[in-house]
Amino acid sequence: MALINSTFSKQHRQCDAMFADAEAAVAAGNWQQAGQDFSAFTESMECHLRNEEDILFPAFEERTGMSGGPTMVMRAEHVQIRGLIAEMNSDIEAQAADHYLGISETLLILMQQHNAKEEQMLYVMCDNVLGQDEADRVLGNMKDIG
Amino acid sequence: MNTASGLSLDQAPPLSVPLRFFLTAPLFGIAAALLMLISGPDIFLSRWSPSMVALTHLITLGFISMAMIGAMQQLLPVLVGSPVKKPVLISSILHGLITAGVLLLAAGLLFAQQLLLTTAFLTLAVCIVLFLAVTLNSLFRAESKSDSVTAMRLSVSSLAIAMIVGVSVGSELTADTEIFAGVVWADIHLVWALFGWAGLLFIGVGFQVVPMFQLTPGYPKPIMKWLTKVMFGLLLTYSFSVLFWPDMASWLMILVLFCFSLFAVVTLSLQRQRRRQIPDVTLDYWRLGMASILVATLLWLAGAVVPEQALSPAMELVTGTVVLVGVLISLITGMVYKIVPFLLWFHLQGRLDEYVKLPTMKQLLPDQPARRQLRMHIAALFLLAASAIWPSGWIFYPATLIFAASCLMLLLNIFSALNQYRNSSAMLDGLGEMDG
Repeated sequence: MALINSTFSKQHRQCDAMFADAEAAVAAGNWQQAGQDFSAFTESMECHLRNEEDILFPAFEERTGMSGGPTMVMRAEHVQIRGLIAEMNSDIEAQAADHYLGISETLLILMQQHNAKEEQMLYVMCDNVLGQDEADRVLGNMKDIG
Repeated sequence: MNTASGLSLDQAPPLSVPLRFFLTAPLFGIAAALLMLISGPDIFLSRWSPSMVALTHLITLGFISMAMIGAMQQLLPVLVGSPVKKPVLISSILHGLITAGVLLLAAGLLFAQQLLLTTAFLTLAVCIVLFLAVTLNSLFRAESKSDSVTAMRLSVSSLAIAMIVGVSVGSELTADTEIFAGVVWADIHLVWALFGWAGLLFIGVGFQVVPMFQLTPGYPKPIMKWLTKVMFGLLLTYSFSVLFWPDMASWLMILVLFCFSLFAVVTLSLQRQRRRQIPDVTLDYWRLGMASILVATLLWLAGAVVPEQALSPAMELVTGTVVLVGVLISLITGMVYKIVPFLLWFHLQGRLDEYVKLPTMKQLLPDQPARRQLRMHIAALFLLAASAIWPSGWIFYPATLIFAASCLMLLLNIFSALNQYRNSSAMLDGLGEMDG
């Protein structure tokens, strides 16, 4: 059963959808909607990143003894993702549509490449190395995004 | 420099590796336009005149393959996770060889110089063999077993076949041959080069980037798993049937075109379901490319139903124009407009230990000039197709000039993004000195 992969990948799709909604609202100049959609997106992203950093990655690192490997790379990419999201947050406050859209373009590619690496490599490895019990524990502890 | 951490950074080759190819490709577009201007509308009278063959290869090797080889240096590490060793050295050699090879080929054909032609074949063959060695080595080492990797392997293998057939067709020519004797073999060369090498690569890349750039649903699993394999098999069968059972060849070609049309229809329908609804030049370029696949298929079918038509050079030339300019140059330009600003941003970002505000992708390569270039490209496509049908100077010269203009605008758009990058890079150097 590739439960880790399917569960975490599903969160990627949910975040993608919220990302697109916020971007569409900014492009339409609907700042109230944009504010709401963007905070929904930010909260979901943060929740997903924390699920990985606090629950999934430590389980993987403990099982494999690899703390300087793929999870370190993924954590570094999370820093980049959070940096871009913070910039977009200031753009929402300043109602700077052009700048927001320029950053969201970058975030999209960065995020999609990152997701692809996780879905094609890291989650697959997690499903392989974590036993049923450990996988159940990870899935039980992680938070759903709303 | 390059102090930031990250798998992707270790894997991403230096900026100069892909950019040298992307900057050279439009120059060959301009060179092709110059050749058309010098030759005049008569160049469209035959598919097989030496100047027409020179023109075709300025576009297919100089523009299209140039950009594809450059993109491959980036795709292998980033999409496949299997970096090329010594990327700067390898890309300098590949870039030098293909540039010299295409120029020699064009010169050899135009001036009927056997020595130039022979040198051209040798140069291009060495270039492609090196490219094949590097790429196949990387593709077969790849841990990723994705369908895109399979498509890339098949694409690169097609290039090998196209090159072997191309060089053997070419070397049977003496420089003063007016008409290509081996038309059958030339068709086989063309099919592997366009449908195999270019077609399969774009399908494989499309599987990944279409959902990624526009947040569309993924391609249906059976299509991803089977389409490129079936097409490769069809191309093999087609090649044998052209030689041994010519009656079957047309039917096999219909199946190949059906596969491309299937890809186009599925892509267009996925793009209709995209989550991301904001305007996007790359999206428009992809839609133009997919529509051109469907138009080219219809033109070919029309030619097959009315056989006299198929033989007329006009029909072949208009179909060729739609495939080269409408499909391939469109898809390449669309990709360049995403890849270049992202890489520039990425390399600026990669120099930082911490997060610093940088120009955005849209500041590096703004929408408006890209959109103006797209309009120019569409105008060029229509006028070139029209002048393939009616080779009168009134259409031909404007078509040529507008095509040159669209290539020049593409070049300038990339250049101006690169300039912005240099400015920001100098600013970061300043910051670094202040910190130090």
